[in-house]
Amino acid sequence: MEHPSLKYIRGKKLPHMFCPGCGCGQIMNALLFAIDELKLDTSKMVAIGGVGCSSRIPAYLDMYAIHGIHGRNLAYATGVKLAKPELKVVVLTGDGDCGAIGGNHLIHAARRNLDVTVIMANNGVYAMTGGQVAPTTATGLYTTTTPRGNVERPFDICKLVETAGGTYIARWTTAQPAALIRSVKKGLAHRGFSFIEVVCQCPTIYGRYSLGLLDPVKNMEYLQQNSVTKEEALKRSAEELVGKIVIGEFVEKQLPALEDLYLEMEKAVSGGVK
Amino acid sequence: MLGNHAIVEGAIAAGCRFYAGYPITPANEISEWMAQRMPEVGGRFIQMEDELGSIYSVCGASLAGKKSMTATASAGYNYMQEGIEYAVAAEIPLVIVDVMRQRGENFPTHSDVMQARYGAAGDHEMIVLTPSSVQELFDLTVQAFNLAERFRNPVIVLSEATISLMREGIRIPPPEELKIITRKKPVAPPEEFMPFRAEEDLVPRMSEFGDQYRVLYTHNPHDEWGRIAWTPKMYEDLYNRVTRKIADKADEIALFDAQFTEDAEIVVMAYGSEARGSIEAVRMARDEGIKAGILKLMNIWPVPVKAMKESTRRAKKVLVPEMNTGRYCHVVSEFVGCDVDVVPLPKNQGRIHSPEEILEEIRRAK
Amino acid sequence: MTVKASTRLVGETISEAKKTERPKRRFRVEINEKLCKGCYICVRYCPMGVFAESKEIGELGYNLAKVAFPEKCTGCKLCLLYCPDLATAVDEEEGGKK
Repeated sequence: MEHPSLKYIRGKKLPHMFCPGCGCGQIMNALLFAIDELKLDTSKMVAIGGVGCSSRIPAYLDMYAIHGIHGRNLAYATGVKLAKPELKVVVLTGDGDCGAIGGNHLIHAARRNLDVTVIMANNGVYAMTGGQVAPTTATGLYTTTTPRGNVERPFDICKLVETAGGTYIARWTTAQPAALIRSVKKGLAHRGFSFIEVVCQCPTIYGRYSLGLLDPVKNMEYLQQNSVTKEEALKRSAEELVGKIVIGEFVEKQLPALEDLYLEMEKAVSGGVK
Repeated sequence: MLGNHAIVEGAIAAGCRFYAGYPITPANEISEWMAQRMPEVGGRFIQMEDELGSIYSVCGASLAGKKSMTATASAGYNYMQEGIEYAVAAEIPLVIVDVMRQRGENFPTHSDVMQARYGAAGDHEMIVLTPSSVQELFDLTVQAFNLAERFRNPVIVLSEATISLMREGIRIPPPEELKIITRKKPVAPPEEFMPFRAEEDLVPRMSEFGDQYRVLYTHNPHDEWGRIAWTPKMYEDLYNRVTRKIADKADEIALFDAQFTEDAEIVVMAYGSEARGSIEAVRMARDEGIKAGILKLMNIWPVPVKAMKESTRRAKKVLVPEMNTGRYCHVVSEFVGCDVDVVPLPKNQGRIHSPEEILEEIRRAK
Repeated sequence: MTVKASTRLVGETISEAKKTERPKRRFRVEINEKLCKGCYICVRYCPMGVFAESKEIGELGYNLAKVAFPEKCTGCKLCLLYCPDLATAVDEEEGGKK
């Protein structure tokens, strides 16, 4: 008797290297449930991760995987998808990997509506390297590189991707696993740039240093208590929403994916790519 | 044909079907001609948002099974180093064209001869080709793809602003005349296939995304199965193999043209567009009765030691004309400096030496 | 009398369910001690309180979570969704209605 997601794990790689109570394990689990429920052929999938805790997820999955350079996931993905459009590519990334060093590739892949599913684990810090400030760290928080409190404003990466042109954008936390799985399923099935931000707990680093909560359960409760659905958020004022995580599906529209646009263009030239 | 266009035609003849690039003078014509030609031959072109996007997307496309190329100039080549390092570690066949140009200016130069070899972090060997004419841009680009596929390593084609933007007549051989090498595919079943286990030539067979092998590609130290592993011995073994697969074959890879070297007392070792003036100068020197010879290097890394030693058998002096403050002369000195005097001829004005200038130096060296 | 959710079929009214005798569905629950890292998320989020903290130290050196009250399990499988280490497993025992 074993956990149903274990059949998607590469070889005998578990236990994974994530900390006790890490959101990355739950994100990996949600992805595997989604793959299972959609009955996807994993031999036609490629998982791409950069550098960081959540980027380690592809190394555990029993499918082709690129454990690539920090921030360059979407550049790899662009090459893979244009070379072999029939592959399904899922990108596992983090808030620093995707929003800082990978920011340029993020906005362009969204603009191009590349048919890829990006699952960004947002824990608010660069956890793997010890807890430095990230583009999503809230103002005022302590991190190792903002010892007197963060003076900067954070990104709302979902809004950034929306402006850049992403066509399926959602945010959930690890405290809503069923909704997350449904959203990942939608993202995988969506033709075009799917972006799912998962605000996840990081008890060891962010929880302990920035929130003062080491216990994984307390971190999850924090996420649960501070989640506000987007419908509810509309009724609240900006001050009331400070420190809250707005969850829900923000954008869902159908536009031609980059691969389809290329195929259209190539039909006019040589009758299509061989 | 324009030099940059010859590069594109060479790539297409070799089987390149994916190109990603970013605008940079003097490599723009490569991207523009690729944008035109790729759909015509069933390939794909994309202009990425920066050089980083370019190098990583060609890595991804090559892993997906397509022969891939990118092109840039010196400044953009700086950006690509980490991507090149990744391609070495994951053993991805790639061709990168670096059209060398001066810092901040579009004058020709030989600025990247060291960066092309040593720019990437970590232990690596690099194959760097140096064409000197538009015909060689075509021929050596085809060769670059063959070497990349054979050795599963990035191969750099070092062009220059001179030859890239020059027009000369070239001959494009029909496909049946060209020898094209493609990566070897795995034959073992998935449970037995070890993605990083090498055969006798130290190069592993390569699968591609979408087939049944499910390989993990990483630049972390990995074992022969591709599993990430942190033992010191494994790291050493891995990079011994990755470097030796090329270093051991340096003399086989060597591409050069030696003229008048059998009895030459003064040998000019030149690469790139410097070779053009040098050949002329050596001929003029011979007309004057000076025993001069020329070793035209069409690949500068891995160093063609055997060719260098053979051509300088009878020589007393070796002249190395370069468009920089003297770079490759140190490499030449390292390998033949015990037996001959190496005379660097640096010229850092954004111009090649004229044949008269080299002839003057040959006379002075006598 | 309240009818337990696990014994009422979809579409069945409460009064219909009350009339039908059905054996209670039973589930086996396990925690893989080679994988459990003692985060106790299952302890907190199982709606029926099947799991409990323990002082026992597992292979990885963490205090394990334990299956304390398997008979309370209703087969909701939330523990499968919440566990970051894929350490939980739930299976239905024979004799219960599917």
